[in-house]
Amino acid sequence: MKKSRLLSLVLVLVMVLTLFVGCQPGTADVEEAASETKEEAKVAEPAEAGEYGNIDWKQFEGTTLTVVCTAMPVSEIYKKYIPEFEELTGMKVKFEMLNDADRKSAQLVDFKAGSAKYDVSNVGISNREEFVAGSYLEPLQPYLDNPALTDADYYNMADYPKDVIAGGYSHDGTLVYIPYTAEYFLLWYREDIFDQLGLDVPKTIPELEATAEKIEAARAAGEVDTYAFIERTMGTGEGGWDMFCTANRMNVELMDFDGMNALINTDGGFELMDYYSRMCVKYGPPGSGNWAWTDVNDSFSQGMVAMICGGNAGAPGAANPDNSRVADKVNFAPVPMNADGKDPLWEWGWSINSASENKDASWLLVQWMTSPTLMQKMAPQYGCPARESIYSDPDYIAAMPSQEFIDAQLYMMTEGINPSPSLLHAKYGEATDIIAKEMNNVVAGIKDAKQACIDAEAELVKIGYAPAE
Amino acid sequence: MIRKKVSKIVVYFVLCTYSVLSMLPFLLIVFTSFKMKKDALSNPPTIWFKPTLSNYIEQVLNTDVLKAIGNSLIIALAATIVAIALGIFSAYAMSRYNFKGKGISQGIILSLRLIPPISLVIPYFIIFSKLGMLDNYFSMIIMYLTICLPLIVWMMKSFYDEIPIDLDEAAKIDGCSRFQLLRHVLLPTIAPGIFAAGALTFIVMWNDFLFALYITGFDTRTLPVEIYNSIGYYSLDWGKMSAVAVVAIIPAIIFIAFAQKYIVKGLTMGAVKG
Amino acid sequence: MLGEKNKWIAYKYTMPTVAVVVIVGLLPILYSIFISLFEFELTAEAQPFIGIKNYITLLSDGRFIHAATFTVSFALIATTAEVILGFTLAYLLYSKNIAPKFSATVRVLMLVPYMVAPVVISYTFKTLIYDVNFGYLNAFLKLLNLPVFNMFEGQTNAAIGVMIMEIFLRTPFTILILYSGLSTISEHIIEAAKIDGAGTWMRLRRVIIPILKPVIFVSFIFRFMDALKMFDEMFVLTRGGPGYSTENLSLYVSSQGFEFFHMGKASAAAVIFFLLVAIVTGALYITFNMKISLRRQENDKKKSI
Repeated sequence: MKKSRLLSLVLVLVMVLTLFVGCQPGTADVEEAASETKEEAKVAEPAEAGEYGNIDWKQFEGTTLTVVCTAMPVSEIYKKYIPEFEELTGMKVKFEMLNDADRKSAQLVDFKAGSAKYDVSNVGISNREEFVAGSYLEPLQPYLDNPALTDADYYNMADYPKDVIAGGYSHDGTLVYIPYTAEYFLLWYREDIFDQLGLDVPKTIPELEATAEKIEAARAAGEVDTYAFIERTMGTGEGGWDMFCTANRMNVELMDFDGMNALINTDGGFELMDYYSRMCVKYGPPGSGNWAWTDVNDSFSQGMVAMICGGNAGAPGAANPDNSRVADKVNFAPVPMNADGKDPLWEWGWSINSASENKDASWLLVQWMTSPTLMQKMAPQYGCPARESIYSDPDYIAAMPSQEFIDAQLYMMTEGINPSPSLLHAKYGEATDIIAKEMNNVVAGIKDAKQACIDAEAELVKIGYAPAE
Repeated sequence: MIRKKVSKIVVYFVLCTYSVLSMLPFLLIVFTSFKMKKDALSNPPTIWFKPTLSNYIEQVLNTDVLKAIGNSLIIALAATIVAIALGIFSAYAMSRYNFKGKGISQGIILSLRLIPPISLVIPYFIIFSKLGMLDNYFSMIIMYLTICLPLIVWMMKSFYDEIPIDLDEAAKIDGCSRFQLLRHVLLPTIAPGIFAAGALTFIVMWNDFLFALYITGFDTRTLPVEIYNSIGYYSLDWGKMSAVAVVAIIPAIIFIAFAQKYIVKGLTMGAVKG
Repeated sequence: MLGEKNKWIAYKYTMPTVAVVVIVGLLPILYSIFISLFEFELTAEAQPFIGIKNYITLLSDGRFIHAATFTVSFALIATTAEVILGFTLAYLLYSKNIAPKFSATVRVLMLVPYMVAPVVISYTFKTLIYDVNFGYLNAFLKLLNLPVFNMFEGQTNAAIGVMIMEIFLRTPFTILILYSGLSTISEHIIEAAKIDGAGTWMRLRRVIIPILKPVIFVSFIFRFMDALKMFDEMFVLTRGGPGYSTENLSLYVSSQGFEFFHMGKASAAAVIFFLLVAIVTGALYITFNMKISLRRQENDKKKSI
C-alpha cells in the first residue's frame, strides 16, 4: 500500500518537474525572469538597511496602499519591483494600471468624491494644474524635510536637473509630485540614409526642412526608398500636442490660456500651421493623414520614414531588433529648435492623494519608487529617468542604443527643455482639439493653412476665447 | 434551357464571391494572430509568413486577458439570466392576455431600443461615480439590461404566440395550475427558443464596446475594452489584438453554426415570421 | 384568452419587467434632462443652474448641427444601400436555381462579419484593409494599377470608407430578414403569376415586392435605428476626422462628456440625440402606415367599383 503510494507521488513529482523543464521557450523565459526578480527581492531584503536610505522602512508595517497609474512600459517595470517594496516595508501594495484616459478619469472621480480609493497615483505634467486647482495633491516638501521619513543625503534632491524638478512644482511654488521620467522630443533618424546622402544632423527647424527636401529628392530619384519626415496628424489630442511642441521650438505662442486669448490666427500661428502641415503633406508617406503616435513610430520602425520627432522614452524601442526592422541603422540627436525655442518638458511623477488616510506610508512608497537605488535598477529597462546621475551609470550606458542617445538626452535635460510652457494649462485639452482638427483639414487638402487658422479662431471664440488683434 | 444554366452560374458566382468577401476580414484577423509582431504590418502586405503560436501563448494566456474573458462572461451571463427570468412571466402575460395597458407596456419595453447607448452612458456615469459604483459588476449588469430586456421579452412573446392557446385550455381542463402549465408544458416547448434568444443577446453584450469603455475599470474590464487596450503606450500590438479578437469571436461562431433559425426572430423581435 | 378574473395575473406578471425597464432605461434619461439644465463640469466644484442655456448653445453650434445632419444622412444612405443590396442577395439566395444546402451555407458564412465585435472588425478595416501602406485593399488596387484609396484625403473619402465598411458589415441583417420574408410567400401566387405570363421582372415588381413591403419596411426601420446610434466603427476608424467631417452624434456626445468633461452640455446633447432618434423613427413609421392605409383605401375603392 504505502510503497505504491510513494511511487505514484514520485511519478507525479517527476512529471511536474519535467513539465517545467521541457516546456515552450516563451513560458520558460517568463518563468526564469519571474524567479530572477523573486531572487532579487529575496536578496534585497537581508541587504543592509541603508540600501534605500537610513530610515525605519518598517514603521508602517501592515498598511495597504492602492496605486493607480497609466498602463505603459515603465509602469510594468514598477509592477515587477513592487514585491521588493512589500518585503522591505511589510506593507501591501495594490498596483492598478489603466490606459491613460481611464486613469485620468478614475483619478478625477476619486478626487472629487474624496473617497481616497487611491493613495498614490501618477500625474502627467499637463494634469498638474488641474489637480492642484482642486487641492487634490498633497504637498511633498514637508515629507522630504522630515528626517524620520526621508534620508535627505541618500535621496539627494540635487540629483534632478533644475528644469526637470521644476515640473513638479505648481504655479504657486508647491512641490506636488516627484518625477520619474523626463521626456521630450529627440530627432530619430536613419544614420545609414544620412551617410549615404552625406547629410549633417539638422539643428534648427529650417535645417530640418532642408534635410527633408534633400531626402525627398533622393527618393524621387530612386536613390533611397524612404520618405523623409512625418509628424502626428491625428485630429484629436495627439496631433495637437505635437503642434504645440513644434510651436514652442519655433518660439511661437499659439494660445494665451490665462488671458483667454486665441493666438492661432496671427503671423506666428499661421507660420506654425503652415509649416506643420506642409512638412506632413510634402514629406510624409501616403495615407498618413490621421496618424497617431503609434502609426508614426511604426512607420519609422518599418523603415518607411527617414526622420521623425519622437519621444526619448520610446527611442530605445526603435533600436530593438524585436520591434524594429531598422534597429541597427538608427541614431538620435536633440530635436531641431530655433534660437530661443525650447522643447516642452513632459514628465510623469508620483503624487499622494491629499485625502489619503495613509499619507506617511504613501510617502515611503513614493520615495522608494524614485530612489537612486531603484532608479539605477530600473533605468536600463526604460531609458529616461529623471535623475541625472543615472545617465553616467555603467549599466544604464550599456543598455542604451548609443552614446549619442545619452548625450542628446543630457543636453535636452539641462539646456533644451522648458518646464512650464503655456500648453500645460488646465484648459489645454479642448483648445488643442480644435486647432488639431483644423490641421487635419489642411493635411487632408480640404482647406489651406490660412483658412484653417481663421476657422480655428472662430471655433475657439465659441468656447470663450478672445480673437487675436 | 441555356438561359437557365447561365443564370444559374451567375447566381452561384455572385453568391460565392459574396461569401468569400464576407469571410475575408475574419480570415485576415485569424492569419494576423499567427504572425510575429514585427511581421503583422508590412509594406507591402504579404501573403506568406512564418506562423507562430506566441501571440496566443503569451497574450491570451495572460492574466489580464483571462480576467477580461471572465468579466465578459459573468456580466453578459448574469444580464441574460435576469432578462430571461423577467421575460418568462411578462412574455407569457402579453401573449396570453389582453389587458388594459398591454399596449403601453409593450411600447415602453420597445422604446428602450430607441435610446442611443451614449445617451444612457452619460447619466449612468454621473450616477455611478457619485455612488462609487464605477468599477462594479452590478453596474454593468444594470446597464446591459437595457440591451437585453427588449430583445428577450419580445422574442419570448413570439415563441409563446406560436403555441396554440388550446394547449393552455386543455391543460387547465386536466387540472393544471398556471404554474404547472408554465413549468411542464409551455417552457419545455419553447426552451430551445429561449436558449437561442439568450445566446443571441449574450453575443450582443459580449461584443459591446461603448458601455464597457466608459463604465468598467480595472477590475471589471471586458474583452472588447481589453482589445482596445492593445493600443499600447508606444505601439499597437497587432499580435495581441488579433489573438484576443479571435478568442472573442468564438462564442459567435458557435452560435451562428447552430441557431440560424432563431437569429431572424431575434433580430426583428418577432416582427417578421421566420 | 383566458378568463376575465385572471386579468390580475397579467398585471402581476408584467409589472416587474415594466418596472425594471422604467428604472434602467427611462429614469437615467430623466436624470439626463435634469443634469442638462446645469453647467456641470466634472472638474469644477460648483454646478450653477442655467436652464436651457446648454440647449441653446448646442442648437446654435455649427459643429453640433453638422454632427446631427451627418448622423441622419449617413444612416439614411447606408440603410438604403443595405436594403437594396440585401434584397438582391436575398432574392438570389431564394432562387430555385441553386441547391438549398448552398444557400444555407452562404447564409451562415455571411453572418460572420455581423457577429464579430465591431471594434475588432473596425481595427481590421482601418489598418489591414484600408491603410495605404499596410492594407490589402490598396495593395490590390496598386496591383491593378488603379488609384489608391486614401481615407484621409479630401472631404468625403473618410465617410465613404466608413460607409462601405458599414454596408459590408450590416447587409447580412437585411438579407436574413428579407430572405425569411421571401420564404413566406406562398408558392401558389408565384405560380399564378407565371401562368399569367409574367416574366421575372414583372413578377418581382408586381407581385413579390408589393407583398414584401411590410418586411422591407421592418428591415429598413430596424437598420436605420441602429445606424443612427452607431459608435464603435466611427470611433475606431476616424475618431470623427478628418477635421469634423465624420463626426456623428455618438462621437460628439462622448467627446464632450469624456474628453472635455462638459457633463451638462453632453447631457443636453444626449437628450437631443434621443429625441432625434425617436422623432425620425416615428416619422418614418407614420409615413409608412399612411402609405399602407392609402393603398388599402385605393384598393377598397377599386373593389367597390
